[in-house]
Amino acid sequence: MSAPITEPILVVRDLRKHFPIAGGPLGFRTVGQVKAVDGVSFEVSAGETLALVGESGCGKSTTGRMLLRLTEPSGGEIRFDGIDLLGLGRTDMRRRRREIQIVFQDPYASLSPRQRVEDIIAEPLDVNGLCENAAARRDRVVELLRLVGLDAVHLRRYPFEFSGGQRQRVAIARALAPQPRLIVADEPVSALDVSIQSQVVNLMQDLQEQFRLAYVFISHDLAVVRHIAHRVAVMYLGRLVEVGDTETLFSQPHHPYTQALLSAAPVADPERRRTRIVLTGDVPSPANVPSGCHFHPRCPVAEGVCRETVPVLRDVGGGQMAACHFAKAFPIPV
Amino acid sequence: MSLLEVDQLQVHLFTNRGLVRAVDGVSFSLEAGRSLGIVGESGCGKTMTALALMRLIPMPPAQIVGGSIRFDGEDVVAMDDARLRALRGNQIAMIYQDPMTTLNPVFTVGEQIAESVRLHRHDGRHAAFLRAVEMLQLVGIPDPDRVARAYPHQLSGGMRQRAVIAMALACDPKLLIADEPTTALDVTIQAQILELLRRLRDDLGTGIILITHDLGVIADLVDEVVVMYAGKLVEHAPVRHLFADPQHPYTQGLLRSVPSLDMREHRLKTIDGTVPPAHAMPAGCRFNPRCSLVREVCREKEPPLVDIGQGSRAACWALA
Amino acid sequence: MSDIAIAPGRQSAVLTYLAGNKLTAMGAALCCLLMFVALISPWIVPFDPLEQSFATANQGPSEVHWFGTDAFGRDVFSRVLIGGRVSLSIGICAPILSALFGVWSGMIAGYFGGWTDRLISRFSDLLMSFPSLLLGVMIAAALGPSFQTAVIAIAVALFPRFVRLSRSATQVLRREPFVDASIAAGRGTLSIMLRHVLPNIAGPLVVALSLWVATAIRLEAALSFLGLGAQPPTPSWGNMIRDGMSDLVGDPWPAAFAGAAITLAVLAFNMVGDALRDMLDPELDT
Repeated sequence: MSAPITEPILVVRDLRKHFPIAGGPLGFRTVGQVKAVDGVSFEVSAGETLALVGESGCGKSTTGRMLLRLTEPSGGEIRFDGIDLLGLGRTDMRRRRREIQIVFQDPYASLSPRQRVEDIIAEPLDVNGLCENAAARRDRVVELLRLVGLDAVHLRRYPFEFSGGQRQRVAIARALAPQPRLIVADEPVSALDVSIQSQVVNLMQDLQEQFRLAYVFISHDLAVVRHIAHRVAVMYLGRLVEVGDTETLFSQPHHPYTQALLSAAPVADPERRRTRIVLTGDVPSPANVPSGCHFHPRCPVAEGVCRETVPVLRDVGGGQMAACHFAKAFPIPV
Repeated sequence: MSLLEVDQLQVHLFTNRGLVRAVDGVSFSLEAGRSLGIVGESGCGKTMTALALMRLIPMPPAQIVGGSIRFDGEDVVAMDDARLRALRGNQIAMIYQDPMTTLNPVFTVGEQIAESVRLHRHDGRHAAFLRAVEMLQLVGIPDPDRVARAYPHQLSGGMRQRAVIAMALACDPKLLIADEPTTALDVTIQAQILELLRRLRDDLGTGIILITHDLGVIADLVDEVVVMYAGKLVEHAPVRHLFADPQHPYTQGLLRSVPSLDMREHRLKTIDGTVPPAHAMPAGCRFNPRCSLVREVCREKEPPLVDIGQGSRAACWALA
Repeated sequence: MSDIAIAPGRQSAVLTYLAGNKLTAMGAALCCLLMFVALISPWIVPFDPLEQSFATANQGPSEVHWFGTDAFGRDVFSRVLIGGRVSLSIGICAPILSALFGVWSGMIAGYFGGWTDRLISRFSDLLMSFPSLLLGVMIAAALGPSFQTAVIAIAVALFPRFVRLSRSATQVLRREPFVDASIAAGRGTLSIMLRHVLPNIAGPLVVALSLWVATAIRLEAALSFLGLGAQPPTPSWGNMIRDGMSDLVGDPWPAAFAGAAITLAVLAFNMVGDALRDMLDPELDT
């Protein structure tokens, strides 16, 4: 399965986010930096899903938020349709916001509890003046509700009357309202029950096909990612360690971290008694990153050079890119 | 005599929207040294069942209204408070999902583990502390002496969960109840904790009840699986049989809707509809509105749990 | 998150709660009664509260003068009523004035963070470092004692408390994804603060408001007692106690009844505040 090869609509170059750590007697001095995102580059084309995967502290959520400038980047470029979003002023940015939307992880917190579903979904329409009158607004909202598998009867209800899966559908309807071309989905199904997850994943795929949407799909759940993503980018402590086509990445990872991640994911099959690669140590904190390759303290194949030199994300063949001094096709242990 | 025998357990929740039959007639048993997984989605009653085993359910609004729970022959439901306290933390121990809230932030990890030891074994402070360090070593924590003197916020998520497991095992319990022990952890840390639990199961012979919604976690750790839906036990089978040949339509649907890590599917299978609201359950089999095999009888009468061979039981009219 | 917002459509929960909790229902009723009486007091007073009469001075409660008379022969009951009007108006206006400025400042501080937050917070902390009464006294002394001064003084004393409350509530809310969703939709900052932040922090604010009315009443009493509030001959509960202090043994009635009125009003508003807080508490759902 591959997406049609077209010009990428989103090009991200060297994106960074550094949070200053305050210190000193009155809290005014900056004593250090949390490098939450440390030079990330990728591209997404129309109708394509790029998954950003990684564990907590890897910076995937921050990256997603920066694409909408919900968090202001510390550096880098975000080119949407060729225009650098970071150079835009307030009004221009607002106009661009129609094209890039977001769906959050928590279906309970992403909908305002005091607003009716109709107003929640219509917010992007209202704010951008996309509907001429109340009737047009209502029609558009009903259309959106139907697109996500809900019904006009839900218009006047409040979020607390819905289940998690239904609320997430409302969130998706809201994201679709301004007819975006790219949706950042930040762990959109992680908080849902398994049987509901599959419903929402199917819905997202249908919508992608119908509207040629591009998705930046942020997730820690590798099985879902395998299913929905065309390409995968693996992050660790603020950097990309591997990027490539989904099938290739899952069957032949080129970075030891990707290998460990795939090996550690639980599989619903008791017959598969796998030899797991269990990494030692904890996921370090982004406030205290190791030198050189961030992964070296936990890496089973690390050598001296890994501690000194930062590996560059480079082509390792077959369209895959990996940031490892010893990149090769790491086998997944059986 | 089994280590644990649960018979027709009923836990009701009294809310201002109506009565919720959170656990409605659940029965299973566990032999010493074996492990049982309780699997289900939100609202199925698995956590309530686990809490009931030590009578930890919040009493209002919930209450055990029926059934019995026999631990080592004694009825937990009827027990007096003193006997119950002697049991908790001592012969039955529990670990929860979020290690940050399980551990008291104002005491060191060692003190918290030692507390349990002092309470049940009446050891002195020093002996209890040594035992705490010993337990931290058992759960694979490097430099256990230093960690024992550390506060919870100084440790990472994985270390905290290990400390919680150490605390649970400090008094050599016969039964360990683990409620979503790895859900809050990263995948690579989850793998570490699961490996630890596997090792402990093999080395110590503790009975384990593992509650989770994650079928992948269950597959690798337990001997038998109980599947719950909307307060009911719908299937109970040895783990291999459950995954290879699930009998109940809900189990089948659940297993089918989990995306596979090994292979990309064209479209995920789903179970239509959603879990009905807790206070407004349908008549008859609670799964009937979503079941593809539904018949008339399913809408009228609740199916009994029947033996379907190979050590399995399931509650479905299509099987009875 | 739901601890901040009370879900709409649950307004009947208010009545259900009141029905179930007699004591707080009484408090609420008492508050309403007090405010109503204070409002209509000029028309229901049996005597002119300013009318002096040496003949009937220092009398105890009787059929004619229900609360007795004071040193100037004025009817205590009428003075308590009109005094209530003064004290309650100050007690209610001051917190409202304070909220108008304090809530906005707190919201801005909580929403934007950074230097804006530091500036507003430091200023607010500075005010709060003075004991409220002392602050009130300083302001009243600077502006000259009067009804308006009392309102301003108390408003200033309460200002940092409103800032603190709305700041922390806003900070929590700012992190909620639905605020981010609104930004993503293209909504401007001011619009977000009015539409999303304000309605969601209203709950704890209303609770705080009613509790601080009680505080304001006490502060007003204290200020008037010190002679810095409403000036004689206008009665207020505080200055009635002040006047009554000089002859507490001979004629305790003005002080006693004014004191009782203060106690009653403070109690009533505290009960209402507590009741509101309980109602908004999600723990009480079952």
